[in-house]
Amino acid sequence: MTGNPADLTLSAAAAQLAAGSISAGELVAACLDRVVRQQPVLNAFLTVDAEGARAAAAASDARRARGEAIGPLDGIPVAHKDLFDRAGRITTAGSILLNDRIADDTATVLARLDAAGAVEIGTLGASEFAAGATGHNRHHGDCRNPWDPSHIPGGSSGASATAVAARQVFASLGTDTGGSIRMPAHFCGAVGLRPTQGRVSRHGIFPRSWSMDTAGPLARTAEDAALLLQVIAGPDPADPTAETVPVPEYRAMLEEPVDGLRIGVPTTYFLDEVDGGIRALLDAALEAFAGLGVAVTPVEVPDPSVPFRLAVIVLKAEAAAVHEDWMRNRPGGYDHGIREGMEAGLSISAVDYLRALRERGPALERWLAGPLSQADVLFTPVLDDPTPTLAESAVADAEGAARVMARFGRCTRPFSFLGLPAVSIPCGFQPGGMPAGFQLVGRPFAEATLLRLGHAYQKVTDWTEHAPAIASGEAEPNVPARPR
Amino acid sequence: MTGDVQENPAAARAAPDGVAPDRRQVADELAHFSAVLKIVGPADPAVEPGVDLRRRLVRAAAT
Repeated sequence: MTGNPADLTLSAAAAQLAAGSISAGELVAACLDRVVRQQPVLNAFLTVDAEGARAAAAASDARRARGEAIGPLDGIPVAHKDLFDRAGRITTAGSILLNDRIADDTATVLARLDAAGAVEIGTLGASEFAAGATGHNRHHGDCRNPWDPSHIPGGSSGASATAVAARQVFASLGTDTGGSIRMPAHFCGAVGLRPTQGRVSRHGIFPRSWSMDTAGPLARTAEDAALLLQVIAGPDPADPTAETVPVPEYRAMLEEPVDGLRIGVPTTYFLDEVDGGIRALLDAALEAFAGLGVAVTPVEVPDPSVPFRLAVIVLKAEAAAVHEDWMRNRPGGYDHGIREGMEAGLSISAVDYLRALRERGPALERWLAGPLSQADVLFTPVLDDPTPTLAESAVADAEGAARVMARFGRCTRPFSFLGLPAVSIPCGFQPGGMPAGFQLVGRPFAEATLLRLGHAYQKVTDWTEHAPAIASGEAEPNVPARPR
Repeated sequence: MTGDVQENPAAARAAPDGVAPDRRQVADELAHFSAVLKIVGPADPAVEPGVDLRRRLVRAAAT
């Protein structure tokens, strides 16, 4: 092959591995080179295990030479947000409070990727306790957007999106409570899938809000995301909330026709205040779907501001339950802004928490009986505002940050409350040059439909072929002074 | 931390001290939550919060 192997999609790299035209060792070397060069600018990685990655790649190449390759992920370099436990390793969860906590078990999703032959080359940063939506981290340093390091990569899985978009790894796992996979994917130009609540095990993942937390893939294409989901989805004896709903053949279903599917575009809320530049990208994406024979129709939706606001009550109460002891006894271990954001959770009554939680099922029924009975998927922005800079969203500019943050999660969190699957698919670039994505929301456990539509869209557009200049080494971005 | 990439120097910065939270902000948030919860109807004794959503998601997947 020609060119840098780290620029391949996961699917293409897997095909070349299978064809014997590249080795896992070469893929790992290319990714490690990218990480070393880009780390001073992007700060996506917390740790790199170069020796372990090379050994795992050598083992993969040996398996393949014996004709015993495990599957498409065998020999593929990956790295994940540091919220996933690995036995014998520290999981920081983006905090300094866990610096001495060594995991005694491995998260189920990591164990499944290990068993599939994926090569973990290191750990990625995360917003502190998965509680920030921008990518700032006082303790480990801010992560930066590969398209322009002065801009946020999003959070809390911003480093996962950054590493994927910058071609440091082929795919990554993130976690999504209110939008923490989908928003970073939007900001960085990656595909990010939040699976249905219960589709993927959470065993060994540090919790933020246990009833709304999910884990899912970030990748460059819907096909790549399907390959990861295939491995991590399904029941888990270690997590009773991981459901036994059958796991379909996601990759095989990608090629099923999309003509005749129905995309519903909500008539209220999501597009009411959308930025003009983002609106143009969304309209163009809908035109592309129409060209594929997908029926695009307006649909009325129940007021999304209700699940959006109720989700905050559930999230804050559960986060406070996780953090209460530390918040009272080790308050200095938190970023002030992160702790303040969780503070109200300590005062939410059990009655109010249960009332909010109780509304989830009835709210889901209303959406299933309404818009999701008239359409196979819903189409919305991921975020309706332009991508802010790190400075604009830093707590140092409290007023500005509050203004920016008030919009975050507006389009993603309602669906977290409903437990529905949703994916962010890149659809072009905002007028300022930053990527943007659209969100597709499906019926329960209909991830295959979301990925099929995303795959069909990516076959008729070329957004996945765009790479940030930093990936090719063409640019040496000017890193602005740390804003906090 | 182990590996080739060193932990960012920012990690060595002192953590913030125990600055007291803004009580007015917390009170405002709680009042907002209270207003939001007014839309929630009366309790159904058959609904077990938490489990209920999971059951409905699985049931919907089968239809």
